[in-house]
Amino acid sequence: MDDLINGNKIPLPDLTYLNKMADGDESFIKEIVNIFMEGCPPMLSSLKESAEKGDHENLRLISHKLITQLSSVGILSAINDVKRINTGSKDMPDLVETVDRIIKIANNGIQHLKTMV
Amino acid sequence: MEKILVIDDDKLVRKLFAVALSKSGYEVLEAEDGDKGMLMVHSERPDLVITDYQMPGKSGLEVLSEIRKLRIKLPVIMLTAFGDVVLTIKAIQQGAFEYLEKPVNPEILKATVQKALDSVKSSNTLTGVIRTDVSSESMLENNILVGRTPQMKEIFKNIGLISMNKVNVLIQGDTGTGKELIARLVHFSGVTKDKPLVVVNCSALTETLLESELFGHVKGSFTDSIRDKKGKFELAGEGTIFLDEISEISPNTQVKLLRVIQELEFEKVGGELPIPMKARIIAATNRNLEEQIKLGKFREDLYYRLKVFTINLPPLRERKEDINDLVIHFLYKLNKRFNKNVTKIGEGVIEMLQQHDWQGNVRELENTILQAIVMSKNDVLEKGNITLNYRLQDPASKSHELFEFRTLSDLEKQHIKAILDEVKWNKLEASRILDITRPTLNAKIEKYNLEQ
Repeated sequence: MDDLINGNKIPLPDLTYLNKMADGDESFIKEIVNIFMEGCPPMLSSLKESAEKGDHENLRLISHKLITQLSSVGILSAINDVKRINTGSKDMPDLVETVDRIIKIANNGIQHLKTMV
Repeated sequence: MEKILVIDDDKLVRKLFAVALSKSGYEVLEAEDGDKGMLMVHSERPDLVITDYQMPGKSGLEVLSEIRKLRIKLPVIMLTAFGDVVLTIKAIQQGAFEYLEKPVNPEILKATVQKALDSVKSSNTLTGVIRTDVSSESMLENNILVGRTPQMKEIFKNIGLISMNKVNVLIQGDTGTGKELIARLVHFSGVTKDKPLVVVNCSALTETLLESELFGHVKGSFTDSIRDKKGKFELAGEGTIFLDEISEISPNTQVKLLRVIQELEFEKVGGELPIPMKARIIAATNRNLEEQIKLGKFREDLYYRLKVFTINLPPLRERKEDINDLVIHFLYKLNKRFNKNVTKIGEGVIEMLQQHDWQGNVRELENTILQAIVMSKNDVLEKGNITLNYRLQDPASKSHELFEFRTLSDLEKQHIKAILDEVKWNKLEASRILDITRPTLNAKIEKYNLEQ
């Protein structure tokens, strides 16, 4: 697994938030992580496709959801990039590159989550 | 068992809420869109609805609006996303009990749910539907106010409430906290949105000029008054007049302003005919007006006339959690304005900015980001390009007054001490900020006998 982004190690998912929401109940945590692992990859594909097509409305809608999805399972290092897309993808000359970075971080997180729960 | 209906098209969010709330003893119902949610409002009679704003089909605001028509006392908590100030104002105007930003902190979720349910029991809330009237969205969105701290959220909610009534508002806050931005939000988010907003900086004009500016003058009323002139009150019409730095107006002008507020009419300078005053007054000050009253510099009766509703803006040092979002916002805004492309935030930048005292508040932060953007040679906002303006303080008095320096060495000594204190004596960090090597820093610490 490639754990580096811009030469820095991608942090592991932080399940503190999820633990608090689920009051430490492991079966619920597992259930929510599974929902994330099912739901996130199609969103990432759609994000990529929308960035390539320049579909800014869809980028806004998907990024809105991704903020919650990624925050919930503690994949926090991608959040600022997702927020940038959410607030103004039209003005991002580095849009495709940013989306690729988000996808890399999210996929890395998903791989780790598989081993964590 | 109290029933809570969660409406959100995101399965993960519904499940998270279901888990958190069922563990607190509530029965949780789930709906994946607004239409299904409304059916359940009819059939299941929930005690509380939590709905997302952005969903396919019916939006959260449409759900809220339908619920308000159907069950006026059913509390609704709106879920919003990052930076949705406009939505927050709208939601509160339409009668939402509260809005929460995703991802929702579990303690806040449980406390808010409890508060909403209690409010129904005591039947003291949601006494009526407030008219939806926010349509100048582009104007609002151009005046983005960033804030997710409890103080700022409370301010957004209050704007939602007061913008629907033309009550006078007093905005208090340090320089650079965004008082004019708040005034604009109040104006553009409610009943005055299609009317003029007139801004007057009370400190920029002499007493005579200020009176002429505020009330207008008739031809020949004083030297150079070669034609009749409308004053700001007249120009504001039924809109808003924003009186910035209200504490700076003279006692005479205070009396005249008080009379305008009491009588709802005024005369032009040199004129005799009364002109009706229909504008809402928003006044702002960076001074403590109660202290000014004690000092005899500001009229108490005027103060109470102005502060029908008061908004106290916190200084940035009390809302440092907002710095990350503010930086993102300023990068977006300033890149666009100056045709730059600084889109990444370097390692440790936010932490460094959060350690700073920000005496100049949000305005100082914006200027700092602007300087860094101008200095940047790539697309990263880097620590090395950020110049923090350290105000040197007398450590004994802790006042914000500048030291009286006699020599260059005095200045250097105090500056190094201030930087070291600011970074909690992290010498590596201090030498980086001072742009000197660590041995040089050590030598200067020794030379000036500096101690923690």
